[in-house]
Amino acid sequence: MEFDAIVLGTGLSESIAAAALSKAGFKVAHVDNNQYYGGDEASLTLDELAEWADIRSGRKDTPSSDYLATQKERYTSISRSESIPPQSRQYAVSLAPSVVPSIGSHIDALVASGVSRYGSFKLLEKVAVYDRPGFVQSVPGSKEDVFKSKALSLIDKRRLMRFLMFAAGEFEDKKELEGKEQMPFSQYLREVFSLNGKAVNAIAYAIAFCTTGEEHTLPVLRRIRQYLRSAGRYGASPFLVGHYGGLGETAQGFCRTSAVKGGTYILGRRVLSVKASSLADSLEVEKAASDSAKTAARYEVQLEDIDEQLTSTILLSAPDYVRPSAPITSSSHDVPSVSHAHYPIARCIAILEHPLVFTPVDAPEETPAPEVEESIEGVEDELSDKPAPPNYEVDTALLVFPPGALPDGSTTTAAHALVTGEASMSAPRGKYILNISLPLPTSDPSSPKELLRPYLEAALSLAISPSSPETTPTRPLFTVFYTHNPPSGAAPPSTPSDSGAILTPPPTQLLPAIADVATENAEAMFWKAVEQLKAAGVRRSVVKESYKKSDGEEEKVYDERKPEEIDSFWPPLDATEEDSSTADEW
Amino acid sequence: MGPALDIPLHVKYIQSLGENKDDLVYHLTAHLRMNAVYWGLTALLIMKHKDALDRDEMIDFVMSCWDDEAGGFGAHPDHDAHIHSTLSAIQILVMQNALDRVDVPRVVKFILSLQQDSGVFAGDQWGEIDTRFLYIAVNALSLLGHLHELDVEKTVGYIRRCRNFDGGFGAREGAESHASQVFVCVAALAILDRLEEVDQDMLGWWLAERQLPNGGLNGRPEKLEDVCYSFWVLSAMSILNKVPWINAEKLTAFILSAQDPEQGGIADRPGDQPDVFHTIFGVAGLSILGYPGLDDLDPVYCMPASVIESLGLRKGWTALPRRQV
Amino acid sequence: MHNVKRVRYSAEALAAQRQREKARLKEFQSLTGEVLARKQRKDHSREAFDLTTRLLQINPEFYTIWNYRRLVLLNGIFVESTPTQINDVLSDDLSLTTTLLKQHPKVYCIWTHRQWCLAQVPDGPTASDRNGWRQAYWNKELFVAEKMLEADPRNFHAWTYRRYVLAQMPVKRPETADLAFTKRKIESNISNFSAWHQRSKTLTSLWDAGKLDKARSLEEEFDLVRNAMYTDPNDQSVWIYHRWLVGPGEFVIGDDKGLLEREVSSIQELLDIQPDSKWCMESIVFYKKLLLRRHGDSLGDDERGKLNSECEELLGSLQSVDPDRHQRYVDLSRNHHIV
Repeated sequence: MEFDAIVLGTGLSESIAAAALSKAGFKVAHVDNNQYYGGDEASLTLDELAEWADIRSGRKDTPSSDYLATQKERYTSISRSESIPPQSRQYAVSLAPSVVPSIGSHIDALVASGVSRYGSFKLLEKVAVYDRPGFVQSVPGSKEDVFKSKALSLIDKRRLMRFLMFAAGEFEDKKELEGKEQMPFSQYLREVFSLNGKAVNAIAYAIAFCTTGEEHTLPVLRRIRQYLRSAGRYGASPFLVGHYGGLGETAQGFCRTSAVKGGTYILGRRVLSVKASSLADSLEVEKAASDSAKTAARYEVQLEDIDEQLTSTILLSAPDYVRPSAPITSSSHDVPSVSHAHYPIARCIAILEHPLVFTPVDAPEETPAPEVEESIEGVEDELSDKPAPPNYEVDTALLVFPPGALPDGSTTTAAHALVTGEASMSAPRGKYILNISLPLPTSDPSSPKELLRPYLEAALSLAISPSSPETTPTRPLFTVFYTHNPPSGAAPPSTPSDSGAILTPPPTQLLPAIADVATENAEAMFWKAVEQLKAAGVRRSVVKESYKKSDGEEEKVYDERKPEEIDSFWPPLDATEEDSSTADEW
Repeated sequence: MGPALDIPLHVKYIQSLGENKDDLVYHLTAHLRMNAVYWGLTALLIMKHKDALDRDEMIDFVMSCWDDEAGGFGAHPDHDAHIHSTLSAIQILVMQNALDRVDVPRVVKFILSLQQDSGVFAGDQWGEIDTRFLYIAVNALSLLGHLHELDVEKTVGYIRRCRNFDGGFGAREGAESHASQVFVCVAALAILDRLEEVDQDMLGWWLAERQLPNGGLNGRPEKLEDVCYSFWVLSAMSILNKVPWINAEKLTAFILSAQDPEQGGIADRPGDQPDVFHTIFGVAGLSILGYPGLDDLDPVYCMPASVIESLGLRKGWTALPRRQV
Repeated sequence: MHNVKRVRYSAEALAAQRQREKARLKEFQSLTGEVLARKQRKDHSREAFDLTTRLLQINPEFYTIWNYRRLVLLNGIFVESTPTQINDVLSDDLSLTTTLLKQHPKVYCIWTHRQWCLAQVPDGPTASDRNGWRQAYWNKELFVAEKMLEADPRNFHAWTYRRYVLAQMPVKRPETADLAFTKRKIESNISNFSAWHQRSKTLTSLWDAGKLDKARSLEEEFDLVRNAMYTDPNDQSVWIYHRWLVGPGEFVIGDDKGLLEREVSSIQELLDIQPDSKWCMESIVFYKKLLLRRHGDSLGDDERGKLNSECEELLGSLQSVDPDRHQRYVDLSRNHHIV
């Protein structure tokens, strides 16, 4: 079986690259060792998650492969609850918890590729900073938050707004930044904007999502600007959370787009070997088939239980399938928006049976109703003048622990806990997935379970309402703890790094940046692939039209095109969108 | 330096509007046809191209919209009479010097029949009320020479009740100030010689604050700019003799930047699809701003100043002096 | 996803769209011809009614068709119907306008028809509960108006309609409820001047009726507006509202001079930390001039001279801070000396 490109791994970057190549008219084979789409960004049911953990912890024996060997180095210190709760198939647990900014390269790619038609999203309801058991601090991330806040003095409001306006604007040439681009960000907030501790924590960890306060000011400001500008595009929150487990579902959407354009999908097969034939050999073959438009395939991939080899002109791969080489150097197309240190992450996935309640420390006292002299009898509840008693329950939200937030927690690093429930289609009714991540800049002998226990306890303290303290703290129904290590050069896959294969550059673990970085990486891979294919003289064939035959089968008519220049990551869409009703249901 | 006003292109654009009969949009806007003809004709006159559209054809069209049952004009043949299309019809006929075609007493009766007890006017027999309809009635009666038949106190009383603390006026009692409603109320008061009802300093301030940093004008506080407010805001300022309170140069540049350099016409803002509505109000704004090569526009009636002067209806407004090229 | 950005389409896709449009044009034209012909011959049948529905779904701005639809209802359908049936028909018409408003929230004809429908609601459902249907509708109407304001908080059609509904409800809501509503709107966007405006109307009405302690609620309003000023000193809605609160004299309570001086110094504090704030300067000038106008007699010559020269100085700064309105500050400066 011969292809223009073989793509190994269905992680988000590889899936986006595969979709873009298929849409550009190249013949793509897309392969994954796992039974599911998404690779390290997959969304799994609880059964799948348990199996995922057991395979990587060695608790479950599976035939060895290069992929598995690398994965076992990637995911270490895994421990999980013994029993799996019922309705396990109704969960979609993300291995890469993330929120997606409403403005950025990922959303652009979703829209331009048409994949946004498959997936759906929910706005992140709230971001809050953990304060003390049972209470959080609201994050004054917008003008309205600042205006409403009862915790801030008038002068603090002004200072905070000054910073937010500055950060939302074109600050690169402003005098407030001059010479301070590399200053540690928390210091910058204190010195230049006279902000105090709580405001600094909120901005650095709950608006900019810093890992530590030492991050350099300029890149952090750029991030904040993106997020501030994202607010209001789809609603008050700057962030979206993908339905059905987030990025795994999105990766699958890109794979579907690739398949619609003729991409071939092979999942759940071990990759037995990846070989790059030498340039000389290829030239030989090319001579033999001199009339063929195609140049000879340079890569040969052997899969488990498939006799015929897959062959291709180029190879794209997640680093776990081939020996890593130097990351792709960026061309002018792609300047990743985040430069970020790659730390191991201690992770905890916990299933809760109570929602988190984000009761703010400055929750208003029961305000006395204004003097009402008229009766409100006969008026339905929804029309009543009394606002419903404040309900701080959240379904899809983010809890932030700044460094030093917990006595037993990290004093240098921030942890983030994403909770997703039924409203994001990731858990059955009344159940919630809590996903805690704590970056580990320095090696720590403690297990992830020990490191994250205090964070889990703190989060659970929010799962009981402070107004009914007699309730006993909730226990998670299920937990998995593990350490997620960054890609390293230690694994020994069989393909040499100098084979010219295009390897996925390293991802980030910064919650709101994962999807954008993966997209920017995919675009870099795409252009590299286009360059190699062009050099090899590969022609593109584009689906000219496709229509349903009377028997329901889809018929595709291909249009062989000249190797004209590809001028964009995504070609124009094939059909104008029908006016989609944008109104909410009511 | 931005672009200049491309008069020949806009003339062509207005001429082309009647020729797009294969476009869905043309037919979906039939209910605005009479207004569109008035907008197009006024724009042509201000651009000094009176003869770009055929006079007889236009008058025939207007007369074909007469609704004999109601005694007013509809927007299109077979459409119902409405006070808005009736004013447009009168304005077209006045500009074409063909008012003799109209049964003036019947039209006056139709208009007066729409005044409500509160003093405001309805648009037609179905009772929608708005200060826009009040202005239309005052304007039309004045053009027809029948203003003496109007109950002025009742009419002014309604406008007074629509005045807000910011000096502006809303569409009805209790409604927020809005630049287009400010125009209709101020212009109606100007026609009725009752400008003392306006808090001129306060309203002048409110109007001046409609200009945004990009030069364009918005219609209400904290809203986006739109070319049509170039007329609504400027006309009111011109009637209050306060045009210098905004930056004319920046507004001129903004209006010009909303021209469509390919098919002609002016849009609500740069990069958008043009239409005849924004074309006339862009050109009208430029005329008040003294843009060279244009004729004077009377901001009270939104018709050529020379036409209003010849009827003896000119009020004490001032525009910026006409600049030379 | 909502609000998806404009996307590039291929030439084929655009051609296909033009083709679809051609078909729609043909349908629209023949439908228009048919409906207008029926209108001409005063056809008030159910069939004619259904045709107007189809036509209005394509073009809800076609006012003549709405008029015809109402004639069909009045002269045809209502004549043969029981009150319950009339109520059902009106209920359907309201649903139709709800659907249309979601797509066309600013089309006058739709709002007008909605209001007309409500005026037609018959007594019922029973002789003892004559307002039952009406009250149910009015509650729903308030809900719809407020939903429209969720979609676009500045939609003046929806604000006007909401005011109309509140005034018409057979069982009135307490006006104080409107204070909670406008506060919610302001808290979700302090630039929503429509909400500030509505708030000014409601408060005036409550004060005039003696339903609210004016002195206390005024202080609450000053506190609210001060928070807004410090949050965003460039937001003009806030300053316009403040100007209303201080009032041109008719809202004077207690120590008016003290109040004016207090507000001037509060704004001065903000100006001290925000020295380029145009609105602070502009407002200080306005209030100092007001002070001179209202209390000039009780001020000494020195005090008056000081206020005048302070205004003069600020007007000078305003000319450079806000050059677009330069001439206004020059004019104000010219006729500045009031007393």
